[in-house]
Amino acid sequence: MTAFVSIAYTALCGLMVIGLVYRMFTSRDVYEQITCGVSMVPFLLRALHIR
Amino acid sequence: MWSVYGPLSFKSIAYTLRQVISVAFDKASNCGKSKYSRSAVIVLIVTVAMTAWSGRLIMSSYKVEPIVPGPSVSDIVRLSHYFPGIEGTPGDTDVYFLDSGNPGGTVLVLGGVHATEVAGMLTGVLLIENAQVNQGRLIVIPHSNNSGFTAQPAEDAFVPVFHIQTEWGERWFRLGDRLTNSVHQWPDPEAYAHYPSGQILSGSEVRNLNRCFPGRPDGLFTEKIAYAITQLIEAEACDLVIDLHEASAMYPVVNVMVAHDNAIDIAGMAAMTMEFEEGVNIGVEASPVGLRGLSHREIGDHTRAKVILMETANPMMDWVRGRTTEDLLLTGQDEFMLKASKKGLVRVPYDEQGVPIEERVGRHSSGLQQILSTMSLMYPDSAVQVEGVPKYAEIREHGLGHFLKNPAEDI
Repeated sequence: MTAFVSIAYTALCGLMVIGLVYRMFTSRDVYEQITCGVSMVPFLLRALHIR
Repeated sequence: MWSVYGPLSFKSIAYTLRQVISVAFDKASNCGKSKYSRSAVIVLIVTVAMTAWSGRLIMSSYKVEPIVPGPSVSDIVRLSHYFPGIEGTPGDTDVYFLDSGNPGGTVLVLGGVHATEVAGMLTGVLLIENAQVNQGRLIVIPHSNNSGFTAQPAEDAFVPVFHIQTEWGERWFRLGDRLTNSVHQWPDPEAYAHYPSGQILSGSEVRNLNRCFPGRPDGLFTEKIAYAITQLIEAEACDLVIDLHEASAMYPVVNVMVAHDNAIDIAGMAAMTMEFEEGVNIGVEASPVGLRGLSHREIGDHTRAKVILMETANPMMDWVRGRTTEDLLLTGQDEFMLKASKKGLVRVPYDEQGVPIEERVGRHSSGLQQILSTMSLMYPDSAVQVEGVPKYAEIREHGLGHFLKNPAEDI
């Protein structure tokens, strides 16, 4: 069960990263792009299992 | 749970990122947004750089500092040897055996039960690298809560690593969290009910190893670590357990030995001898019967071992402190603590000299050796004779680094 939750959490973090990258590249607002970048860091770390 | 760590996710996510970037580029150029694509690339590069920097910092906490086995180290085993339930987890840690080969007692020294309180861990290292055990056995666990060494307390701005200067260079050590790393045990409950007493504590205390003794095999992660230590004490028939801690200088229980009922005689005599022989003041307190989960209560109640816990003063743990730097950790000098001291709020002698690491490790080292000598006198069948370990005055005079070995010369 614990392993399942961990894998699911990793997958969700990966999805967040993909979503933020997508948003970053489709946005017309530099400030929004920066927000995407900063908020992506913790999700990217978790998706890479760095914790 | 631990098997999910691995590089597979890195490759797959890197591939996905590449795909998304190419799709996003195409879309952006189709929409005539190249200016924003350029800024997005720059932001992405900065993001990846920030992630790499943070990741490197986080992963450095998992790198265990080298310890050089000294002349009496006869064996090194993993704690999971006594309870396989923690094998392969970040709670597993090295247990050092210093066996004289001569009949006598067995004493377990716990350092790093709280990974913030580094004097305990450093005293353990000092013992492992210097002790010559002539009678009985010494067992040392320098990183009792190994998971705690992989994290820093939230909002405290601790440095993850600190350095001690020696004649041949510098040694590095990790500074951890008082609690088990929350990524290894999550989530915290609203309230923590200690097993087996049922005492209710704050939820985060469920990750405090020194509130989880005696532990249980089917409990939460920290309870399992406590259970492994209790199993070790039983399996090795330890006569005495010495648990080394630090506390904030404004906390009432500081520069003190806290003894279970079964060891109050040893603690009292050792404290008096320490004051008479070395001029180092240290108090003695009886372990409160109603405060459950602590080593000095539960190990004494649930095993045949006598238990003494020692506390020194670490100003870095005080809330009124200023900047939390490596210097503060090592010297204990802080202008705000000085102000607090002048107002009579600090429980230990405190002036411009602070409370350096030499003072704190020296106290632990002397106290520990006085306890061993006293036990050997009072209980000759459980005698443990140790020499070669510097005492308070020597550590203050030469510095702690003088007694730390060079890992490069470890063959």
